[in-house]
Amino acid sequence: MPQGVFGQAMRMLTLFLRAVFLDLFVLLILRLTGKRQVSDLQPYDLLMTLIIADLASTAIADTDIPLLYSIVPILALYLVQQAIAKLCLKSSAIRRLICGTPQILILDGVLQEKIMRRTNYTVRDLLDSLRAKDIFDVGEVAYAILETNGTVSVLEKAAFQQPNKRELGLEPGSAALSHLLILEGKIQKSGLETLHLSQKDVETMLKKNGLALSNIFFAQMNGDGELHVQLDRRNQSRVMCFSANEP
Amino acid sequence: MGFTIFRTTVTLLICAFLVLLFLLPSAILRRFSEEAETLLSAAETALIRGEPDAAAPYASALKDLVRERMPVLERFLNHANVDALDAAVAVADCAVRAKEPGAAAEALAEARSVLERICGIELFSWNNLL
Repeated sequence: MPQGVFGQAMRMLTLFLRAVFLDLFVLLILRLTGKRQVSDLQPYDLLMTLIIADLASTAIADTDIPLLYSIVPILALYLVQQAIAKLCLKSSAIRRLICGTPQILILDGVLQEKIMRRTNYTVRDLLDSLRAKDIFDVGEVAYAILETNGTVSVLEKAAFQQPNKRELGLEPGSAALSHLLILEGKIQKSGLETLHLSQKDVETMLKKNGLALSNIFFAQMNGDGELHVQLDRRNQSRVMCFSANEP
Repeated sequence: MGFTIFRTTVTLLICAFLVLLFLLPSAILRRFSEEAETLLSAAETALIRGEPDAAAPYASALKDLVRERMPVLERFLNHANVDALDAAVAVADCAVRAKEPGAAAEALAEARSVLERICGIELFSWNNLL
């Protein structure tokens, strides 16, 4: 039987390993559920996440409990969550039952008192949500909808909506994503593949502009072929932009 | 698509793992409790007959059985219960060797009680479910 300091050390190691194992296990389960952040979660999903965290912490701290006492309920919750997700995809009635339905809080500029009472959503809550969307006057809102994940979607009245490029008759420009090409002096292969470039192309581009790969802290290329480069601290973190299409 | 296939595969593996867990521990515990029960009864019978020497091999075998199965039992049973069973059979073994039938009978009764508690907890019943 382990005694004294060595025995305690082994117990600490046991606790450490249990924590690592359950952390990885919970990480796997949460990744399998497909949710990335709390704002993605429906109330039911959030509840499941909290229960999983509680179950995992119980087995981490108490070495008298077999790990299976936490693992089995967590797996059960995962299976139930997957089953409910599948049912929600197949049946809108079940989806309404589990997730609820979006509620219209402002309809055609008019606050829906009855719905607000039913959803326990106060006028102050609504004003908070509108301010978070940079709307400080409820008179600017045509529709406000309380989504099932608790966020409020807002459609402003036509007079207060920002005009878009098409309405203003402007050149739309490119809507392509920018891709990371260099990070801390290292070329990012995923960026090269997406932009259909080779490492040699990037090095040539940098050489043409008098730059060395090792001096670059960060470089990103946008859909128009413009390269945004920031040098590292040794080079005063200088920022420069140039076009890859320039001769 | 790749992730969906991975998730489906993992979900199926989880189902298989859970089914295994529903069946295997219960089978292991049933086998263990039957073997332990046989040894317990034999030791108790010998003590009742006033033959502590005859009880000694059974008490010793019971202690060895619990020690041998402890690592497996602790995978799915609360360690405190397994430790309590181990302690009770160890005391019974010592008492039988020391030719103290009263203490031995008491320790064997304690071991039986712990064994019944463990089996009771593991049993799938309405009481446990609710």
